[in-house]
Amino acid sequence: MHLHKYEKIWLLFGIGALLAFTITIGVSAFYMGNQPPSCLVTVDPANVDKTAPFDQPGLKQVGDKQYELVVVASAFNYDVGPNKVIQVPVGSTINFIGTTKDVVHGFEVAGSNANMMLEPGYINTVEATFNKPGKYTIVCNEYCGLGHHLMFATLEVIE
Amino acid sequence: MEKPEFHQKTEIEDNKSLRGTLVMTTILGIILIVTWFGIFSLYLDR
Amino acid sequence: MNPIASIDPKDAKLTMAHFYVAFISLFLGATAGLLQVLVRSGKVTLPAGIQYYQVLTVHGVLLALVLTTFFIIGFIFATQSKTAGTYTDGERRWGWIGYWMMTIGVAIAATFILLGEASVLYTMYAPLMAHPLHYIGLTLVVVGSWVCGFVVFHRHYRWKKENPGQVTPLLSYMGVMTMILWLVACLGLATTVLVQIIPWSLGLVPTIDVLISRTLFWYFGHPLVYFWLLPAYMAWYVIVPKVIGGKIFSDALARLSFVLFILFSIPVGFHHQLLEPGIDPFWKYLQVVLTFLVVIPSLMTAFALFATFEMRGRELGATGLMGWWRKMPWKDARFFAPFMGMVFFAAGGAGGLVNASHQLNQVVHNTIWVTGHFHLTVGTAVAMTFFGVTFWLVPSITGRKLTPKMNKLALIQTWLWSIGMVFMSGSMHAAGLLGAPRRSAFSTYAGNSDTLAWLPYQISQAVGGTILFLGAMLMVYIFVNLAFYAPKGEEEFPVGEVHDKAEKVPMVFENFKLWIAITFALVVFAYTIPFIDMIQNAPPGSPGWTTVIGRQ
Repeated sequence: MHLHKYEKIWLLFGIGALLAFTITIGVSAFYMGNQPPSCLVTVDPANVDKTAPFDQPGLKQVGDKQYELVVVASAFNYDVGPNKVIQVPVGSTINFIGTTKDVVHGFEVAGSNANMMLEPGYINTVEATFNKPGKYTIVCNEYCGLGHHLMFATLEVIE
Repeated sequence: MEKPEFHQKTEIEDNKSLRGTLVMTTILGIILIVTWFGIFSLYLDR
Repeated sequence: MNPIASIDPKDAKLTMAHFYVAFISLFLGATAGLLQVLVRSGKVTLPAGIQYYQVLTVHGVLLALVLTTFFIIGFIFATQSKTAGTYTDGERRWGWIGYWMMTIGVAIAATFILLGEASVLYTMYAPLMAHPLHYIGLTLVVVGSWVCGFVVFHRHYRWKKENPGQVTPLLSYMGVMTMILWLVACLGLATTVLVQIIPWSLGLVPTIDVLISRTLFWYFGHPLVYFWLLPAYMAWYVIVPKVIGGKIFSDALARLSFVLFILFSIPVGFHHQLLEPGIDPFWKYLQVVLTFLVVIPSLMTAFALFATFEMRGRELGATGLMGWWRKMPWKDARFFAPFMGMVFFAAGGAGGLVNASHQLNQVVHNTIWVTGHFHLTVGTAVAMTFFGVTFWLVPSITGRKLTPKMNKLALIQTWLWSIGMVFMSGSMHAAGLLGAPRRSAFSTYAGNSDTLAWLPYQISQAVGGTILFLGAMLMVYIFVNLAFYAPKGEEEFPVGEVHDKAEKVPMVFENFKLWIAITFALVVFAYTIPFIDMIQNAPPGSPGWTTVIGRQ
């Protein structure tokens, strides 16, 4: 089928751009480790509170400037352990490990790349590094019911 | 005989009359590319 | 003046019936939207125990599911009647059966939403559990739409039998392709609703597998947006050229673009699930690559549309690189409205590329950027094109005229919608980049400065949303006027012709079985292994959660 010469040029340019996007995404994901949160580990949603590590939600230091935050989401609360405000020094990398006791929740540390879905029966993880000090609000970004906008926690990154 | 006629048929119009279209689509392409790499660099920044 | 309708009055009645439901939905859905932006401005609370998320459900269901489906089917019926010829009494009877199934379904589903028994938004994700009759109502709507789809197939098939070996009317072809896409897409929705959700909501099974349900939903959910988009493309490809007095750039390439949409809009649902657990990253990437392929027919469409304008402009004597823009009929709302739809689609498309891309999705997923995005695409490109069609279609098929006064109001309506959308969608995109979540009532969260920074954008969204509400009410007024009060007469039904130097249409495009087969092959390729993984590794399922959405 015939294409006008200019349409051929446009499609070459356009498809070239799409290819550039696809390769950038692929390299970033498969070589630089920037994969989307895709944990394949399952958990019994009715027994989250009895299943490690969710029997002890909260912040744990696992190395120099390396932390783990175990989170249990429910309607309408993030159980982040005994400290309601999570504090880490600036430059820390946190691995967020979460699940939900009931419906689907989002887990988003506003203004960072930490953004993942928490679905009943599954664990999910996402890692982010915090180089700027300040208070970061953790919000639920997946509709979970009438109190959806009242689910939050605070991450404080200290100088 | 066939060749020049065929050449005329396969060019819908001569190139001059779709130059504006090429420019407009190129602008569109640039908008798509700038937007995409803009958000990608936001990701890398965070 | 004598009323001269451009299609058989019995067919017109069927189309208008669909439009009545569509514009009632616009009236109610836009009112809901106004309440939402006002609540989110922090200055207004809802009276009488009405829940924000109830209003949000009304808004999404009525505008994204009801307005769209009813308008699209009414539009396809009218264009098919015009270009392929009048329906038989039998075909029309099935059309009415489909219409009544859909309308009764809407009434049932809406009742339960208003009773507070179905605050599950239009994506109705498990394990949020609405009243079973809500799901049954929605099922009726979908099955009714299939019945209408079969009417469209039958009319096209009848035309082919009566005109063997000939190229079919382009609008009829496009209508068929749209309904093929819809039917294949609905298989996912039907499976989760009939096999999982309804039995579970009736208490016949105790649990539901949430990931499988979401996956089946998004198998449907992505092609859903093409079900919305393709009728707008029908107007852009075939009707707008006639409105500007030009010709269709290429019939064959237009059909090719629709083929590519069917092939590549379905095996891509994972790009809506990029941040979900339980799906291997390899398959997420594969479906993202397929998603980029579905961008290609839109790139082709962009070229075809610019070329149509330029060729017409130069035919009218335009010179220079861009002089042809001045020759377009800017004061004709039948052109201006769909054109503004195209402009907004460029921005919507740019955002869509972002949404479909792994790392970029990480930045915007479930933020209000996404809401900004789809208000540009379905909320403007599609909606405004549908409005632009309404301006001439309603008088044309009912034997009335689009008067200069109504045309002027139509131009004002287009400007109101455009300005409102820039404010609302623009501030949604910005707030989303700052992390503001979507689908959220007013909140100051923990009182930290990051969430408080979202509030000025919510004021801007309220400004934009209010202007949009005015635009919506004006559109309802215009519709009622055109349908009942416009002077009798004759209004053109503009159907473009292909210009004579375009190439012949290859008959392979009519081989629907081939395209459906390839589509299924792609779906099997993109979904089988991850879907089997989901079933084999399935965790215990979830019971229904009702109190969280305000049910007892």
